[in-house]
Amino acid sequence: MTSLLFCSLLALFFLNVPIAVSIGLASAAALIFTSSIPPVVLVQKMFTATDSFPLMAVPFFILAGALMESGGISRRLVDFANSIVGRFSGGLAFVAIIACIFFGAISGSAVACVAAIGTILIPSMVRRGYDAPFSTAVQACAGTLGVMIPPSIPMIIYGVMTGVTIGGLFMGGILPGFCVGGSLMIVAWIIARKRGYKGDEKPCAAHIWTTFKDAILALLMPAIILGGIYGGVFTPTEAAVVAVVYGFVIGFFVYKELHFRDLKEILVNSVVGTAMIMFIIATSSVFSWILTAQKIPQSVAESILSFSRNPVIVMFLINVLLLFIGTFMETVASIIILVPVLLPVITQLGIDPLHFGVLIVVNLAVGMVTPPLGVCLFMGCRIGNVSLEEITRAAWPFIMVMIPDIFILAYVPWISTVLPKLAGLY
Amino acid sequence: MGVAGNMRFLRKLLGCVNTVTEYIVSALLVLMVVVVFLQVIFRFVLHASLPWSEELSRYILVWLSFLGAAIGVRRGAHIGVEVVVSLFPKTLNVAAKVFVHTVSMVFFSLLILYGWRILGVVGRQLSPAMEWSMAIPYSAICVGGVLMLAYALEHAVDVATGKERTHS
Repeated sequence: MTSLLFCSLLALFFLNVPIAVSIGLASAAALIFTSSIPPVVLVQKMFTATDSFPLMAVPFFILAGALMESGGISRRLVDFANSIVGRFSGGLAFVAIIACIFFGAISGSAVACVAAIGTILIPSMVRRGYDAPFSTAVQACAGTLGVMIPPSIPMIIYGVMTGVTIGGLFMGGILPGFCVGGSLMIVAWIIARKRGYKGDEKPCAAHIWTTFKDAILALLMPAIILGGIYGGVFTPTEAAVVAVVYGFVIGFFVYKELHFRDLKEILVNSVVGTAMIMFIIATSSVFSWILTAQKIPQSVAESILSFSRNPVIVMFLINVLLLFIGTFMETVASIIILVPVLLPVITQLGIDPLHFGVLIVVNLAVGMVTPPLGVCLFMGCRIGNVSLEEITRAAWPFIMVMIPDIFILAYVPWISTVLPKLAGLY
Repeated sequence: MGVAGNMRFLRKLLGCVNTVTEYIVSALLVLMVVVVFLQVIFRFVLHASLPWSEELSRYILVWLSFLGAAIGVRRGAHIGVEVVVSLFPKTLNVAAKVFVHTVSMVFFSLLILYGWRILGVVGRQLSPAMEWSMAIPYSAICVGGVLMLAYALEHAVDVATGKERTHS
């Protein structure tokens, strides 16, 4: 049964059948042909997976991000980032990274981050004489910060699956996000120096203050979300709906760049964006349920632990496995299918599930910039008008620092747990 | 001519259905925001809880997921791994595309079949808070499946007749 499940899944994947359909069809085939379980379980599990109050945070954060973006927030964030770091060599590449950290704080999606910031910055970089594949690769890699800096859709899903507090995961992602952002900046700086990409002139303090004032309302949003969750005032879903209302008010009444005629498109796009994730969640949940019913997690745990019970070695193996799977598997699907399999191992070895959750999200984020399935690369290609090969080649130096980052993060749990512990809810 | 005319009519019909679906999901998303926001307001300002808000918003999410997935099928928005197929020669590429849509149609048919069958089971159950028939949230799967099937069929016909450009 398991072999049918996995073989059909891989065959469908590589024939370009949409991920959600591949996973659903492989599960259906396994249910219908090789089990005595009534196949109606297929739709029943899909229903219960989508019938979830915590997951409602996903559409709300997507909508909040979309409202903010149409309200002109991306440009303001870019201007503010530019006034801080634009003066250094390769300044615009720094701006791309910093602006993604900012945008990551109002959006939970990496692709949205690449789209929102990249549409503004990739053309500016190219205009300033930066190499197009380099500009696009910086932007695609910086986009991954969108799922590390809270809010984060993959973290919501991990939290829903494991019962780890979503607020804690959000808090835990902040420092790793800064670490990855910092190392991306180092690489960008080295490359920019070598190629002689110049920065802007140093702006005056008044200019920095103006752009800061312009951006501050957007930058306050994560404070509202995290503050609300931590104060015990909101659940993450409620915080997300407050973010929607906040984004609407800011875009509509303060920045006045949001118009009623754009509203329908924003709504429909947010629904489609949500539904693609929810559809993957739905079919992956069936797949994951079959694995659990077949006691696969136990046998995987046994075989890993019989190989080694040393946390250092197991952590290494798990991260290599995640990096490999991340290259061709969609992030949300990976989390839903792999977390139930890996969590028993993690808990038996005494590894903190919050630490593991942050780690798995950062690790899978690398998969967003590695082919064959790198959603951030695809978005970058579309905006920067470069080929997948060009962007992949230009992305390598950045991937090569993200991978060591993952292992540092894996072996220094402090980085992901210190803030949640300080905040006192974990 | 009759066939071509019928196809044109069907295409137009699907276009209309899609537009209507888009308005419905927009309204549902707004409703979901309003319901959950009301829940927040009621708890913090009026210190009273709404018994139905969580349940209603969850069922809206189910409907949004399946209707939104259908719009996604029409837009060709569901992501997949293109690398292998893009290496195929052109004729094989068309065949691969038709295969993808056909395979998707099989899955969507299963959604309709089992989505319909489960209504017989859950139809008599009532939801805990609002006491609605559980057929109301569950039928999202069947309805979404029908739309997805129709849109996938439209894509398959377009690819097979050369109306839709295949990526080179």
